Amino acid sequence: MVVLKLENISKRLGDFAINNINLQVDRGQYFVILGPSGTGKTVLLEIIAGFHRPDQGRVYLYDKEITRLPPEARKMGFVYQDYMLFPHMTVKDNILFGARKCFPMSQAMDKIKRLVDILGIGHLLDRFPLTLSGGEQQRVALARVLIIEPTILLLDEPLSSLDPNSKEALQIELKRIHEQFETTILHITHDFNEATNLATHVGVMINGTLAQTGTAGEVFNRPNSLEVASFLGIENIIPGQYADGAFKCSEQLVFPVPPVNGQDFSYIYFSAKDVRLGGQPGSGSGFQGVVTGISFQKDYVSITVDIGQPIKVKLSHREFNDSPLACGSNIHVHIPASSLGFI
Amino acid sequence: MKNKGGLYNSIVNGAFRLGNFLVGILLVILITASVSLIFIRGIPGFQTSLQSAEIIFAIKLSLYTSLISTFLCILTAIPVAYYLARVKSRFAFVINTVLDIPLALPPIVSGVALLLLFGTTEFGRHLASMGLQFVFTVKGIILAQYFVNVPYMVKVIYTAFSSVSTRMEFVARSLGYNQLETFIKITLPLARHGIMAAVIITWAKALGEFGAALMLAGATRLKTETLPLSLFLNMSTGELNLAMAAAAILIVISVASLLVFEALGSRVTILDRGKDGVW
Repeated sequence: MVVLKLENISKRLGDFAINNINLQVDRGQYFVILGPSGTGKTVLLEIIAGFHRPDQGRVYLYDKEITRLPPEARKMGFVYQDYMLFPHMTVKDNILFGARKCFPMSQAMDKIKRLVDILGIGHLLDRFPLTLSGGEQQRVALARVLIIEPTILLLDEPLSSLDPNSKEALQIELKRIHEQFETTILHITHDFNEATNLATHVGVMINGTLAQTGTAGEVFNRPNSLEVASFLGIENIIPGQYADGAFKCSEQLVFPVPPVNGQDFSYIYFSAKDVRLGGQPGSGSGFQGVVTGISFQKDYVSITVDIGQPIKVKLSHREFNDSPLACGSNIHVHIPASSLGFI
Repeated sequence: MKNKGGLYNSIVNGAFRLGNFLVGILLVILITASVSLIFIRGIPGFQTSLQSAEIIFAIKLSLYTSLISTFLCILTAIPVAYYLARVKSRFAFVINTVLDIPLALPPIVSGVALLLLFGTTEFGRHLASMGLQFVFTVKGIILAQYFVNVPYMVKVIYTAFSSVSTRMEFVARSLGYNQLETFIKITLPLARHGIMAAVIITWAKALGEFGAALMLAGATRLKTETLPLSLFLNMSTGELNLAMAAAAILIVISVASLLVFEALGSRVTILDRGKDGVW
């Protein structure tokens, strides 16, 4: 069932502009919109919640048009990055704020009991928000919207102001909330890890437009444009073109792959972690290359290999230590056919 | 420029700091000497003056007019300030600019303007026939205080409303509260320190209002005689004891309200800092 649908939404607001956004979120999805900062993601979320009226386009909630419906009639849960708890009310009054409008008091009290148990904030009820840690504040903010049983939960960079430990704990919490309450969630972030960890569906927003949407697997493994591929951090994107049943990047660099539909692609891409070094050629493309650079990162070793074109290869520290690689080494490079993509 | 070495620069720096400090001291001496003189001269006759019918009348009239005008200021400044804090339109800009006019005018000019509007036009005569007679009446004092102070109050409350995040209001609205309910439950309580500060400073300014009230309401003994007008009348007739008493009362009220205003102001800035502040 479609919960939320956006049709050709455009809005210009100060420095932000979003153009012609089309989006559909189905019941039970955990939809993450991923995009660099300053691309208008928050404005999009605020349009959905009704805080701004779009210049063009329509918003539907359960097949009903709500473009002009005021926010208080939409019953959406909105959580900001900086929590926006009401500083002049206790945690309890914050959580009950929306519930008072939706349920009789006795029912609200039952709900708050259950929620604070699940979120582990029972001991905080009489405190004031500014005395809480970031993680605690975010849990309270979640409780405050979950209690009204929102039609959809809108999360605006909910983890960005948290330290790494709280961030991880809250990711787990969000996953649990999504399963336990069967809430439909629309979450925006610039952080890949959040998207890969939480999303069932992903949209990539670049320069105010939704460049690609789909299941998490589709978007992460098969970006469909140069912008999305480079935003997703795919290290190797090489220009070239189809000729005689192969993808030619240069005279020396030819990928012997079967033609894909369409064929008028102008780039081939593959992820650095998919490249294999050494060993015997299997199915896919094999090249001879020279190691031209080695850079040690916290979680991996990044190696630059020249195969007529410098490409990036990622190895784990252990893999690197077990190999005889050094700058200037001649090496066989193997790129599995399944990891190749075309734009 | 040639560098003349450490000792020379140390001397220049020291002299510069000392100079700034000495100018500050001079200002402090000038202010405290003149203000405290009023108390020194006023104290001997203070008690009898406070019992004189004239001073008692002036105190009562000042309290009465300033409280009413401050109340009217609150009623009008809150909606206007909230409008200006939330709407960024050309019309809002026009309102803002027009509000600056009475702030920039000398109060006595504002008084003349009011006198012309309410004393010489059909509009003024019409109001007078309905019982709203402002020229040379107590109502005129209230109107003068209101006219001079309301723009200032709008500015202070505007700052208080601007410091309340619109996103906080958005959250309240998405939780089911309409704009008016959100304003009452969220915006007003969060702006309360700023509003209280505005009320106190407006009231103190209304108590001291002289120029505009003098023009519109005149200076009639025991009729439109507020504290500042009493000071003026008694100075001109040489009743120095009464004049000093009126001045001393005005000083005490002004200084006290200034201190309260500053204290509330510092609370407002603590809140602006958000998380670091203690609510």
